[in-house]
Amino acid sequence: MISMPRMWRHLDFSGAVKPVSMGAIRSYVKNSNGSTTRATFHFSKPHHDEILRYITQHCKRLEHIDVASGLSGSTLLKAAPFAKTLKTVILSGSCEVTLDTLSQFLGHCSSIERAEFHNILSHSTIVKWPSNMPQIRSLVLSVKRREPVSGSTLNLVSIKHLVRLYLLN
Amino acid sequence: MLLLAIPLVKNLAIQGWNWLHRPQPTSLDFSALTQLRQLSLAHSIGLGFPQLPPSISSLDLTDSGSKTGRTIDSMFSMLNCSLPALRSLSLVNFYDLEIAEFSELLRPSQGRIQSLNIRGCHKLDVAGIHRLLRLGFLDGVVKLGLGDSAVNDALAEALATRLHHLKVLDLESSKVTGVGVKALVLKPHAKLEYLNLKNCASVHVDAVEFARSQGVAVQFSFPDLLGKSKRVRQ
Repeated sequence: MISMPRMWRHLDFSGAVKPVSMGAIRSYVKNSNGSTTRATFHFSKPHHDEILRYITQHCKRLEHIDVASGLSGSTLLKAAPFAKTLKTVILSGSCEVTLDTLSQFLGHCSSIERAEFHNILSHSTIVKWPSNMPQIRSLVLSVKRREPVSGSTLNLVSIKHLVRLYLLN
Repeated sequence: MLLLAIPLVKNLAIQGWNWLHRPQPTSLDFSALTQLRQLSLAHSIGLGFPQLPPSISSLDLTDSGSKTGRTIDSMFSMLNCSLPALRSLSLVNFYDLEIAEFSELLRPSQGRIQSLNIRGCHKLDVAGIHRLLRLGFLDGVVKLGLGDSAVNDALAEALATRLHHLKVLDLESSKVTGVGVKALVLKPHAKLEYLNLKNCASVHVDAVEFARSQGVAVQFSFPDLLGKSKRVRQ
């Protein structure tokens, strides 16, 4: 199994019933020989900061991150500078991030083509989107809380290449 | 401003937004988005019928019919809307929808609509739906939502006769009886696969069992006519 690269492409710990240890992550990344392109997580403390940063640092071909729960905005921003090849990021409704955080994240990851953030928190300040998002084609922004986001807060005028846009309030 | 910034968008959803802070129902103009195929404005409050490009194939306005009454501009948008590529349409709870403007909305697609949900559109009466069937506007429908309506056995029989491709039908809270159910189950051409008969007070469980014996998946429950009454204590 170790010699079958296809087995290591998708790092999927979404079904883990206990917190995943750093040791398990290191073994996986070592065995995959850097061939992991996709990671699916159900984060739980205490290691989630380290885990996401380790994966983005050592999986040079990582293209897709899918987080079901447990991710904070600060964790996402710490991993962002290393996620240079990332094309898809999906954060479920259990991962609350601010508009400001996600705009900073997208600024670091200019290769992103598809981004879904299903629990956005707005502080009612107008968000400044990065100017270097040439690849982005699909964007989903969903607000869960009872404080609705206004159109002027979103300020999406700089994302011209979008093919798919969902604004769910 | 937003709509001008995304000229290439094909799939757009702006759901759950409140437009009531405007002095009158807002009518959004999407006509410049010539690539737009799928549009959803579901669960919007205070929104009139939008202006649309002819490229639209899927339109979802579920729960966004203005409850405060629509403006002349909004009705004008619907009457002057030409959607020849329309294949999927949801106007659930579009309370003010009249048969004349609905007919004009369906006309350009020439019976090629495949999915239609007009649940809760109370002004679309049985006679109006019969008219749509005669005009052939619903001939291509595979999935049809007529819940919370006055659909009766005569209309159910007409659906069975005219809609050759119909496979999924929602008649929740309608006036259909076992006669209509039997006609739908035994209809010629494409076989019905799913039938929603929840809260159909005039449907007997025998009709439900008959439909299931013919291979139709039926959703059924007895209507709770007394509401949440207290249980009898012995």
